Formats: sequence, C-alpha cells, structure tokens
Amino acid sequence: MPRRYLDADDAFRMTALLGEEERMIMQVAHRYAQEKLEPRALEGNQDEIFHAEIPREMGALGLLGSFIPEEYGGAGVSYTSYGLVARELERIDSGYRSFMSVQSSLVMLPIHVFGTEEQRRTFLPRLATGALIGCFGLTEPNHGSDPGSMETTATPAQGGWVLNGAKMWITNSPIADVAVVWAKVKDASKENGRIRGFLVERGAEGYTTPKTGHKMSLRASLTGEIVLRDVFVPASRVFPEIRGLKGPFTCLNSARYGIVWGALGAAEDCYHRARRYVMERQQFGYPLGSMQLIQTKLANMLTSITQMQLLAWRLGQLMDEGRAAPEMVSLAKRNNCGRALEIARVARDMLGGNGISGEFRVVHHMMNMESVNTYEGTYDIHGLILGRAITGIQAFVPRGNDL
Amino acid sequence: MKIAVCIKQTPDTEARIRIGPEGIDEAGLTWIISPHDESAVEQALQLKERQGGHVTAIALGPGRVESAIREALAMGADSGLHLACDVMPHDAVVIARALAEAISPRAFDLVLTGEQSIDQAGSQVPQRLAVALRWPCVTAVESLQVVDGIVRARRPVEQEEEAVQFAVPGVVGINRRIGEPRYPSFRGIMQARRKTIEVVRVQLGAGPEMVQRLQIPAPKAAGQVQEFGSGIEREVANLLAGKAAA
Repeated sequence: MPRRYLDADDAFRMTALLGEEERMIMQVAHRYAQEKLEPRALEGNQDEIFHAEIPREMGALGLLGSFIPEEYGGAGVSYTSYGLVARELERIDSGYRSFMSVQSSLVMLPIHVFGTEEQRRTFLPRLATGALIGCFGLTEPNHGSDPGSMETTATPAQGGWVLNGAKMWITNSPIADVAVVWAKVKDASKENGRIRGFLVERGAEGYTTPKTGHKMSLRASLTGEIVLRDVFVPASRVFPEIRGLKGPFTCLNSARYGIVWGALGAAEDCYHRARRYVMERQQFGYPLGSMQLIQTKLANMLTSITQMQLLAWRLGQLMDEGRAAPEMVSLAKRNNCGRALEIARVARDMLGGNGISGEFRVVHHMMNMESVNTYEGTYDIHGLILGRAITGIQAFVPRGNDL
Repeated sequence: MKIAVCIKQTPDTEARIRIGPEGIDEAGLTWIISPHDESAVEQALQLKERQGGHVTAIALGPGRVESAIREALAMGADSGLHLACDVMPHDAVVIARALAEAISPRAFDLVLTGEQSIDQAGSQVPQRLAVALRWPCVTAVESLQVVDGIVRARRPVEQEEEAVQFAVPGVVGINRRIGEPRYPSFRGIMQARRKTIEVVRVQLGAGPEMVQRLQIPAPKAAGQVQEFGSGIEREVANLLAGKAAA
C-alpha cells in the first residue's frame, strides 16, 4: 500500500480531475507565463508598462479567445481550459490576466455570440492572433454597479448611429483597435432607452481614449477612458439582435468566471512565496516556519486555496455542460476574490519588511486584488445577487424611506 | 523524409521526488518530455517544415507515456507509436533494443532523440540504438542540417567543434543547446486528439544493469565561511590534509 501524504500544492488533487488536453493547456500556459511574463512583470507593474509584444505572443499560442471555435481563429477549448489559462496568467500578475479576459470574454465572446457573420469574419481571427486589440465600454463615471442607468446615448442617423458619452475604467482602451461600446438608444421609437451594443473602431472621428493615470493597482495592464463626441458608427457595426443588459451581462458572466480562476492563481502564488520565505527566513534562531502563528496562517491559506480550487473546477464543469447559473458565477467570483485578497494581505504580512518590496512580488498581488475584488461586480454587489437568489427579494434599490 | 523521434517521459524537473517501496512514488507527480528529447522533436518538426515529410513520436513505457506522445503531436508531430510495457526499464541496453525492434521494420530515414534523459542522464540510448540498427550515429549535436539525404551535424569537442556528415539512415542525439523547442499551441493541442497513436505491446528481456535500491541523497550539511588571514589558511590546510588521510 503506497504511503498517503498531503501535497501542499494540490491538497485535494484537483489536477487529477482535469482531462489530458486541459492538463496540457495548463502546462503550456504555465510555461509561457513563468518563462516569458514573469521576467517582465516586476518592471511592468512598478513602471506601469504593458509590453507591446505580449498580445501577439499570447495570440501565437492560442491564449486569446481560446474557447472561440477554430473557424473564427480560436482553438475551441473548454471553459475549464480557459479558466486554467486565467489562473496561470494571474499567478504572474492580474494585469496580464485582465488583458486576456477582456480580449476573450468581453470582446471576442460578444462578437461571436451577438455579432453578424461579417463582423465575426472581420474581427475574430485578428483578435485571436493579437493583431487587433479590443476593449469593452460599459462602466461610466457615474454608473458602476448600476450600469442600467448609463448616460451614453446612441441616436439613429443616416446609415448608422451617432454615439455620445464617456466610459471609464476601461482595460486596454488606450491601445485598443476596436471597442465594444454599450449605449442607450435615444429616439422617439419604442426602442428609446434600450441598451444596444456597438463596435467602434479606432480612427472614428470624435473617438478618444485617454489613459488613466495614478493607478495604484493593475499597473501591468493599461486602463483608460472612452470619450465619444458625436461618433458615427455605421449600421454594419451594431449587434443586430441583442437588447438590454443581457448583452453586457453575458460577457461579464464569462469574464467573471475567468476571474474565479485568476484570483486562485494570484492566491496560490502568494501562498507559495510566503511558504518559501518562512522556511528560509530565520528569527530567534529558528525558521519562521517553525512558529505556531506562521503555521496556522499557512494552514488557513491552504484551506482557502483548496476550497477555491474545487469551486473553480466544479464551476468550469457546469459552464462546459451549459448548466452554470449566473448566481453560481457570482458566488465563486465573490468567494475567490475575497479569499485571494485576504491571502495576499496575510502573505504580505508574513514577509515582514520584505513584503513591502516589489522584488518579492507579493505586494503587487495585494494591490491588484483590490481591483479584482472590485471590478466586474464588487464583493458586495455579488452578495446582493446571491441575496436576491436566496430570498427572492432584490435589495439593490433601498426601499422604505420613500414609501 | 520519414523521421522518428524517440522521447522519454520524465518527472518534471521542478517536481518533488518521493521514494516509495516500489521505487519513485508516481502519485501526484507531473511528467514532461525530457528536455533534450523535446528539442529533438523541435528539430524534426523544423526538418519537416523545410522539406516535407512525416514525424512519428515514439515512447517506451507504461500507459502514462501516451501523454508525452500526445504533447509531441500537439507540437506538430504527425503520428505516435507507444511501445507499451508495465514498468519503465532503467537499462539503456533494454531500451535501445526495444526501440530498434520497433524502428527497424518501419523504414525511417532518420531517428532523432535527446543525447541523454534528464532523470537518469546515462547518455547511452542514441549510440546503442544506432549499433542495434547498424546505422551511423552522431550525438551531442548542437547544429543539424539534412540536405538531399546527407546529414550534416556539428557538436562541441573540448574547445573545438566537430563536423560530422553521413548519408541517411542514421541516428542523431540532440543537445538542448541546439535551440528552444516551441510551445504546443492550443490549436495544436486540440488537433492532437485527432491524430493516431499506434500501441505495440513489447516484451522486454533482461539487461545487464540492475537497480537494487533508490534513495534520496542526504541533505548537504551547511558549509563554513571564514575570512582569510589570522592563521585560517593553516586550519584549512590541516582540514584538507585530515580529510585526505581519512
């Protein structure tokens, strides 16, 4: 009988649950991330640089829109594989995963699901190779958790639409060639007030994308605004069928699912780095790892990570079977981001003064996780989505004072 | 040109090795294509891309080695051949004999493989395989060209470089320094499942080498760091002399 032991990297043997292709995809993503991204990540995060060659590198391997069918330039991989890629990229830096998530889930997915055949053929193959970069405009200066009250408008015009408004906190916007922009129809028809999706291409008159400065988080990826001043969008660049928040929420559901895995990767990296550090660092004549306070911190981390792994894996299975409800994604996104943020803070603490230095790479995760816990539905908003699912009563809009 | 690439599946170089009663405990171990072999796959693919042909990835071992073959297929190899046995043999003689028996009837023009495996590092399989096939062989190759059926290989020898040339068929042992292998693309991974792996059950005879016991080397004791000066040289000399005497 072989001796049974706990693998401190994979306590409940999640890797054994993966299929052969999924394992291979995970290994390729792992090697790419460790060999090609890690050497650039310190500079990227500290000096706010997103190296321009990264999109094509990812594209060559098939990391961009990997779940899109082969005929449109994707690789047709499972959602579990897509999640595993997110995990490997975010082990290095949430910024790289954010780039990949936006390109895949927020740009390629809506073009594939909501776009016309011509839009698919025009954009998807080049987005898959990284020749084109995309971004996604939903959030506005005054509308974050409540996108339904967005102010950006789309007015019908001869041969298309005219867009006006501003989007904020848009990953990739300063370098994007094409933006998926959500805007409210403004006209006298019964379409008035309904949200529709538009593909706005760089070069359109009145379209600018100023970079957002002074970010203290996600510094390895670019963030900006989208400013629309009477921007004309031809009729061929509108998603024909989709109306309302279902459009953007379909995209966000897929991206949030990727974040479930990404947050896991960041948490695992913090845990690995903290574990290595406390085994090497000696104080009072003994390694920190021999101290009870340190050991229980490691135990808590491993327990959380194991739960996060199994949650991510099971959600991936449900996504692949087409049985995942958006509330399941909320539960997992909320849990894994919250836990990852906690783990990053504790790891920072375990590294003492060195934890403050970017060279030890934990503080980057800690800062990044503040964004990841906030974007694509904050921790609390996902709590309200779950609350509504549990009780049947929505609590987004405060009631009582005005009744 | 029909090219065979012999690959060995070895534990990941980052894996933590545990020894159980039956040898290396394989539970939870992650496996890779041995790095020199992976570079051999890359060379085979480059030859195919330049002049056309067919690349077959061959691996010997238990069921798990099919994932190594699948990885070579994902990199771009055309077909796989799994020489199936229950336990991976240690002995290079046994391995080379089994490979030769599979390669001999299949009319390959060229066999590429790593100059050594990353786990046992015996550096014997390419030469023994060539002897068994009665083919020419060059190993530790860091530059390779095949033009009109003539193999031109270069390998480092002391401070010099040796150029070797022979007509196919032949066996070439590749060193990793020849160049980094490509990553399998995701599309390649998805296409790999549509490629075939032929499975041939092999009967392995005994070889001259026997492994009696495996053990993890004892951790090295911490060294001493001392400043030079104040008589420390004499102490060091005595220490060395004492060790030499013992």
